[in-house]
Amino acid sequence: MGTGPRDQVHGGVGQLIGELVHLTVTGILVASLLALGAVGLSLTFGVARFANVAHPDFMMLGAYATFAFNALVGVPFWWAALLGIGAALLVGVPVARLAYDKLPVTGTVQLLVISIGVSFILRHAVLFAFGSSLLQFSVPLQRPYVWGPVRLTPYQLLTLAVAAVLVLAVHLLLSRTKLGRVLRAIADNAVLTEIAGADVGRARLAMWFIAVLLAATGGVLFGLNLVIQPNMGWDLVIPIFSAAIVGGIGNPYGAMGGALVIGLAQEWSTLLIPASYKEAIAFGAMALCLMFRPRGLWGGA
Amino acid sequence: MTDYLIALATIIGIQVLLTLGLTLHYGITGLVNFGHVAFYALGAYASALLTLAGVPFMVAMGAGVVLAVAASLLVGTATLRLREDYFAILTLGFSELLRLLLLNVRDLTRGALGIPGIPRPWRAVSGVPDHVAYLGLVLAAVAIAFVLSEILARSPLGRTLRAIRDDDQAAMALGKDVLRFRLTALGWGAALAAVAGSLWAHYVTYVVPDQFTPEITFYTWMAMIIGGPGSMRGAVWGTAVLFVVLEGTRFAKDVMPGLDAPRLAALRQIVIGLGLIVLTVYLRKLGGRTRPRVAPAHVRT
Amino acid sequence: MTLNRRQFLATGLAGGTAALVGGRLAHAQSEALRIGVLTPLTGGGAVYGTTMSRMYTLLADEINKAGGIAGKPIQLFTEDAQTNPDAGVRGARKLVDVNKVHAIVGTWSSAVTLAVAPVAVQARIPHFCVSSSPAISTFKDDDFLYRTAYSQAVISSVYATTAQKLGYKTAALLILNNPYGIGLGDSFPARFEKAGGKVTGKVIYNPNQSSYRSEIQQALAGKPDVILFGGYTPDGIQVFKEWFQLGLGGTWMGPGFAFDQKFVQGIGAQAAEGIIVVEGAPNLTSSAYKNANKLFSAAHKDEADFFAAMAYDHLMILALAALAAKGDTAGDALKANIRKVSNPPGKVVGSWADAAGPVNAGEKVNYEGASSAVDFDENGDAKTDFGVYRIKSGKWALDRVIKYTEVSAS
Repeated sequence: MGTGPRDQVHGGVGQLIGELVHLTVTGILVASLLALGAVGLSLTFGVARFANVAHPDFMMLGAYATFAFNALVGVPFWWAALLGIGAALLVGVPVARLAYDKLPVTGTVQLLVISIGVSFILRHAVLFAFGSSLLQFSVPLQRPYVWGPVRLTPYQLLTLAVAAVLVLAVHLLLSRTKLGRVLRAIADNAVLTEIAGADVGRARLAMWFIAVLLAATGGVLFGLNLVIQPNMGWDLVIPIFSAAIVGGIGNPYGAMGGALVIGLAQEWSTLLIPASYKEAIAFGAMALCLMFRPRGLWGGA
Repeated sequence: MTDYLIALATIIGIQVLLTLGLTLHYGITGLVNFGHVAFYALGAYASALLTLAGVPFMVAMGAGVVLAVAASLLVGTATLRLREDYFAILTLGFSELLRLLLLNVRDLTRGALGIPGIPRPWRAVSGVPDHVAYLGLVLAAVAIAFVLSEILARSPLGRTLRAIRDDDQAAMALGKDVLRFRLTALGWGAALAAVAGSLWAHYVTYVVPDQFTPEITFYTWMAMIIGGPGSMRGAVWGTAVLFVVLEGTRFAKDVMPGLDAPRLAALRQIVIGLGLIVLTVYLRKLGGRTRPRVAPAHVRT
Repeated sequence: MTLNRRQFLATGLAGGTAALVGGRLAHAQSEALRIGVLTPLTGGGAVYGTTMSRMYTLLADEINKAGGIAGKPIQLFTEDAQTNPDAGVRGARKLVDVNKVHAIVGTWSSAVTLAVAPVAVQARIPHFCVSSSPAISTFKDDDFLYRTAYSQAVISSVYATTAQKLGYKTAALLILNNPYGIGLGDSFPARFEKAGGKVTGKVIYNPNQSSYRSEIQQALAGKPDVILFGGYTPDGIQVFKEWFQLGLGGTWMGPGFAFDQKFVQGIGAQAAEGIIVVEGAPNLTSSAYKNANKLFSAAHKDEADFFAAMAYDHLMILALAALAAKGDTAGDALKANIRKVSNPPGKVVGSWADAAGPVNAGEKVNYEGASSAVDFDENGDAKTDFGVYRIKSGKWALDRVIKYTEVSAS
């Protein structure tokens, strides 16, 4: 086959540990990007009760909107990011409301199919406007900080920080605020929550806002570290769903844990199987989880 | 012009088989299969590899069917007990996993290089041009598949499947082994998709993993929705309409020079997305479920 | 609002049929050279396909303004191959059966080329591609399939020779998981070993991944003297950006179309410094290239890259072949004249202006193209010389030329 797991000489245990550290660092980086998508998805999946296949495309919106401000209009990156995320919210939230909350549907299957339609539309609208080329933000390349086997550039450190802060913010929102309590209650039992007098409609709006905000930020960070292309969201559907499911639907900080599991599993797996199969790892984790522990690692009421 | 219509009819015929299969899955039994293209791929690759190894065409096609049915049983047993959105995501992931395997198990499938030179089922058919004969083969397959599907749909088995689709709790209460019936439906639909795959492979004489993306699955969903999910005749009509319209837009580009081809291509996909949304909501309710499913607070195992 | 399904179906069918019929009627016109442009306008090859499509249009316009071929214009019909063999085959069928094109040009992905070639062969029309899979050389195409790009088998020899001449003893490969990358991965190791080298690792990467850190680290793990990159510009930018930000060092080598100006701009001169580029030559110095570049940059404010150059050559050769066939645009007639206008001996020409007169007068010409000398061998492959460059301060600096006679394709 040519590429067994490794085609090169092992330098002994030291090299193996070095490799493990490299992979762990990469895994954590990937996990932070996945987490920003998975947390929002977990929230909407739990509250709105359907699988929004178009959710990762909100990441794409954030990246492209930022790109438009940064590379096309010339706004410096940080301001462009804020503007871009704002623009993504202005587009994403109404789209989500219209497609998922306002159309007369009789069941979750229709929402599933609608979300496929939304994904088609978002991706090809971006394709229409920006073309299919791989794009980059106008930011300089950086050299990494090196601590032994650990190598991280300033942007990568920033990505980790932003992801951590946002996820923490969501956690605090859900556990300490009234809105958070309402959202958790809806995830638990929508009918009772409405009977109890909570403003479910407003809560759902807030839910979409949070989900799109997180996703759009994730998209900007993804574009900053890697690349911007129209399928950047769609290509992450399986890993993000996997992270959310493994973490436990409806439990956003479980989603962060799930993202860590998936991110690390994908990278560590390259020690044993060719890197081409990384996507399969996410799928496998999701399948195993759903077969044996459907509520996820941290799921449950 | 006739050559083109023959080619179009052949491709529509092959696609009709896919739509018939999906109709058995979703229209009749209510299975939200987002991984239909996987069975198509299995049929195509098995048939291609075996005929190139000297196996007669019908046997090779049969082997493809067996393989697809086996895969459907495997996937179904693992996932059919889960709620619809999980089933949908898992089947989507499964079809992508299969594509990944086809891409990477190069010793078997030649991976990204694809399998060229797939032979026609015959050396020559006397008196009839090759592509006309092939259309005849496809039409014969469609006719047989249609009749069999109609028979199945109208049989007691079909009635049970529809009952399960509408209210599986009630069906279980009546003592029906719901899982076994669903697996049967899944198998039949997979078989049809495999036949379609085999016919495709021998028509284009070249298969490569890139031909088997989720796009095909969702085109099939679109065709099924246009024709009406519960009806075999609808499957035929819907497929014909979808492809005539799609091919028609190809020509619109020639007379509408304002937009360039990539933009028109993107526009076409946006229309598909819009179509999916609009048709799902506004044409006769999806699947004819008699009462909307109430999503459970916890996943049912 | 509920639509009656029957009304809906009827409307859809009627509308679609009208478009089909309307499209056909629009083309019941005078005989001219009809070329089917089947480039990827969406999908992975979209960047190159769009460029090629533009070049075909520009050259066709130029030739038509100069009076066309024996007074008749060149007509282009464009279909999006979508970097997808399925779409490619359907597009090819439409071009052949409805538009009745006399040739197909521009298939980029090897997968698309290999799927479309049987359609062209069956229709007995020439098919010019830019794909690199070795399978194209041996494809049974009755001499209808031509390629202006080099086969991976050939360039592997060039890489091996270059590495040897530069004193590199070990090499690793980082290749894309597609016919081009895999072809390179299959062709290079044996040739490098024959040249006395050793391959320390072969890492295959898939497009559209979130991160390539692990693949890059794997490729660099054996501390190879040089790493051979078998990908394209878009993924190249992503890979090299990550490589640079890992700060690992290493010397890279790869094809010109991966390391073009877009690439250098994308990753910056600092990260691109020292990359060894192998590209077809002559190229930049030919008058055909100069014409092609002038034509392209005037309209699109961008240099004509390798793919644009090949597109220029495809159309030029077909136009000259039609002219040499005294306006007979049938596939067999074109085929018979392709080598007559592009292979030696003959008066060397590099543009329509130079060539039209002599060809019309019955003279034998030898079109030297923008992408190579476009002299086709018996498999329909163009024999190209190669230039080896190093990127210095963001520009390609020529290091040496490797003539095709030095390259063994075995």
